Amino acid sequence: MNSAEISRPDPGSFRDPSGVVFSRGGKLYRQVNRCYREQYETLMSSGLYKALIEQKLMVAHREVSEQGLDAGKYKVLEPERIPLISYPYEWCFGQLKDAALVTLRIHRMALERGMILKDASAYNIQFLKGEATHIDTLSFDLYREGEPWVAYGQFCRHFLAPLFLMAYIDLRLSQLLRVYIDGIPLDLASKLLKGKGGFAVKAHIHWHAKSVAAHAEKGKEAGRAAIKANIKKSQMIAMIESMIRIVEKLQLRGIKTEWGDYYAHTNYSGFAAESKKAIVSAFLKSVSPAVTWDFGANDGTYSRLALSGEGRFVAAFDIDPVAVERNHAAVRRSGENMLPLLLDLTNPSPAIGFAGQERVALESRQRPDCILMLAVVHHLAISNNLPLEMAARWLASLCESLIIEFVPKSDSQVQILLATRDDIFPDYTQQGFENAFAEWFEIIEQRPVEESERQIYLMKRKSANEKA
Amino acid sequence: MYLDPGFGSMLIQILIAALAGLGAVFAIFRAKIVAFFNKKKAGAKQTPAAPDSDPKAPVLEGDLPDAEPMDE
Repeated sequence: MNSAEISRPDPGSFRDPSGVVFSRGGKLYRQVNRCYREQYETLMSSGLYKALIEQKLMVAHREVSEQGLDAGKYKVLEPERIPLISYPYEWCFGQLKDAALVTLRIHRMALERGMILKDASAYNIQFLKGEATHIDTLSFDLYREGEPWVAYGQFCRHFLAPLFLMAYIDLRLSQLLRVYIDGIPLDLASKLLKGKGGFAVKAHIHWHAKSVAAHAEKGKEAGRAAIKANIKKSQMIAMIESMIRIVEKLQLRGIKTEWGDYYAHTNYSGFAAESKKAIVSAFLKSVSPAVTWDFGANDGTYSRLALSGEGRFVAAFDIDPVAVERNHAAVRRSGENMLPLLLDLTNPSPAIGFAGQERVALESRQRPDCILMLAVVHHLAISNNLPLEMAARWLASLCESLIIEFVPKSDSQVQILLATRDDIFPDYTQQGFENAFAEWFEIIEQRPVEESERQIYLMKRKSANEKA
Repeated sequence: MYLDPGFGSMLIQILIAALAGLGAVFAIFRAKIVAFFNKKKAGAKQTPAAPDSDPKAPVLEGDLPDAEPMDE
């Protein structure tokens, strides 16, 4: 590792004195500090690391040599990379559930080898080819029999509370995780979940919330000393296994949202859908993007087309949690290199946390080579009153190649959007669309979709508009 | 340990873990009784087919974990 290059610590990696994540020369590293030496050695020698890697529950790493590590530092690790970092408020129910199960299973496996997970933050889980994977190698600590699980409260806030809220009340409540960066406060979850769920909710949410409220003022040291030796290992294991079963059994009841059955009920004839696939495939072939974003991906039908080829990655964004849920189930089965995520294009994930830097906006995490914008722009332009010029400018700031579908007013889908409102969109025409985008993009090719009035364009950003 | 575990969380956990532990004991006990009576049945009349009940029988939400050897 070239120590002449500048190390940039990750602005979100500051709470745990065991180590810090930093980047240097375009690579990502995790520094292990001396105070964590014993835990790290135990992780590696106890067989826990090996077992976790074998079961693909955690990212692997390699130790890198670092000349002249100063006094506080012990080792530097280079962990396996995640193509696109995502946050719990961008996940569907199934992803949050998988993340919870991986967390519990890791803690369970750790207990067998004399270790524990010392934190249970949803931000420690990322997705790799459909599988939830733990990314913080320094999350482990030694198990001292008798001690309660220190991460239990955090687990309930980050995982159980939002999962119960999504399953028993409404899927959209996962957005509370955007506001509450350390998980949903239990008293809030308890109020919302009054009378919902069974014994699991009663114990882990209602009783838990009351206990937290009753003891809010107690000093940390006094409390911890008083309750040190109180939970037998067998009880701890029974509790964790019980929690695993609770999460496993959480299901979404057959939910229909606006977009859940989209592809069954659109105005595409079978022939039109095949025509659209052929056009998109052809355009993708000429671009050959390594990284593609599909905005309005629904169940990933067209996103998949961008995966043909070595080392491709696709992020499939949609506003509808049921569509993302369907896509996630498909990706889990297939192991494709796709990441389905929740995203509202008119209000995408902002940067949050301390100094607005702990969890960053989407465009700060990855830049795609190509964006697919199929059957979406009319929602932005008409339902959201967004001028096409603004949409074009925004897209030009994100990608070099754009595959975008223009849906004219004559199309039945747009007719629906205009049904109950004044048509204040004189420029929403094919010519108006082309003019708006021509300022930022060069139109390489354009093809009509058979048996419909839609057009699909292949565009390339004009070089004058490239941002650094 | 950099997290504040929360005194209230630790306290309720003691109760929940104790209940879970009891549930585990109860489940082993119940499994032994069921196995005992199944053996008796198999002895009394030669039962041909395997039972068609789901191996993962529905459990009361939140308690009664599967039978598992206890760590001592």
